[in-house]
Amino acid sequence: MSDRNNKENLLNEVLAEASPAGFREALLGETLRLARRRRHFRQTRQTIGVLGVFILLAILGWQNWPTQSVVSKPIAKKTARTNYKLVLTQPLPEDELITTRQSSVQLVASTPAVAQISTSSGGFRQINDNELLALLSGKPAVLIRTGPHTEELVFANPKDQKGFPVN
Amino acid sequence: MAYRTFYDAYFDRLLRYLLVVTGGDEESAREVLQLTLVRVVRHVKTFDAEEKFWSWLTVLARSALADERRKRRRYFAFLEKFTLHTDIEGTAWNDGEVDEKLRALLERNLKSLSPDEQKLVGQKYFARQSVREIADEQQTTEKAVESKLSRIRRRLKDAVLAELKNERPQ
Repeated sequence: MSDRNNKENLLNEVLAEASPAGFREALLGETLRLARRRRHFRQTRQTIGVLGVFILLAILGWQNWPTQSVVSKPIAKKTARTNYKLVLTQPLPEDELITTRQSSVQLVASTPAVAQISTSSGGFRQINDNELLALLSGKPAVLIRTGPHTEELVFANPKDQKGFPVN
Repeated sequence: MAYRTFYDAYFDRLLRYLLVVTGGDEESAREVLQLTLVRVVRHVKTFDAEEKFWSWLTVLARSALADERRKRRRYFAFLEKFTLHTDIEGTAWNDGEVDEKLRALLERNLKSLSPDEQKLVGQKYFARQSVREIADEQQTTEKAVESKLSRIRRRLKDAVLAELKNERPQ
């Protein structure tokens, strides 16, 4: 080692003599901490800058979008004042449409199975006792008066009670 | 890692420089060294030559010293503006001058040591003998040698700083 280096070494040790204990290390630690903090701050600032640019672009894009319709509004006002309300519609998506089609069920026509009997007034005539007895075709029978306006026809032969052909 | 390398390379050099610039005011030199290193962290940039880097470091150190003195003597700021500031600007020591001055002061004070002390310093710093070898040679303990060396270094330091203070421009 040269004399110059030896003297420099001695000079350094002389000047470092009785310095506050740990001054060199403490100062190193402090400046390193500062350096780390500055690096962290720089990184944070860069991140914020990038985010800021994105936000700015987003704001500009958002502002430009409605600007076109805003510009067209005064022209519309100048041209004509509409007295109708314009409603814009758009077709629904196909999957939201509900459609119907002709059913495969066959229609069956029904007819009434019950026979209707119609009556008409005035189609009968009241007969007297003699005419009734004349209708018996000689069958033996007795007409018994049961009340002022009621009578009962009693056949002598019980078979006649069930009916017989009339001429 | 890079900062540690820088620190190891420039800590002593900057302290020496500041001791001379502050006129042997050790406390002030340490405070200004701290401020200077903080400024290095804040404003560090790339240099194409070591001389330029050292020159930049000395500028930082001198401006830190000026700020420190201004802060200390804020009541005399106006006066300082025309006295101390010009003093600092005028004493823009370069590295060679600083080291030369310190070496000269050291050599001068080494000569003022007793022959035994001069021999001890010679063994330790110029013959590069270990403390154990010196202790064996002098038939004493390592602790006694270390203690003696420490006292000599302290005396040399006080003498060098005192001379720097005496040479300080008034």
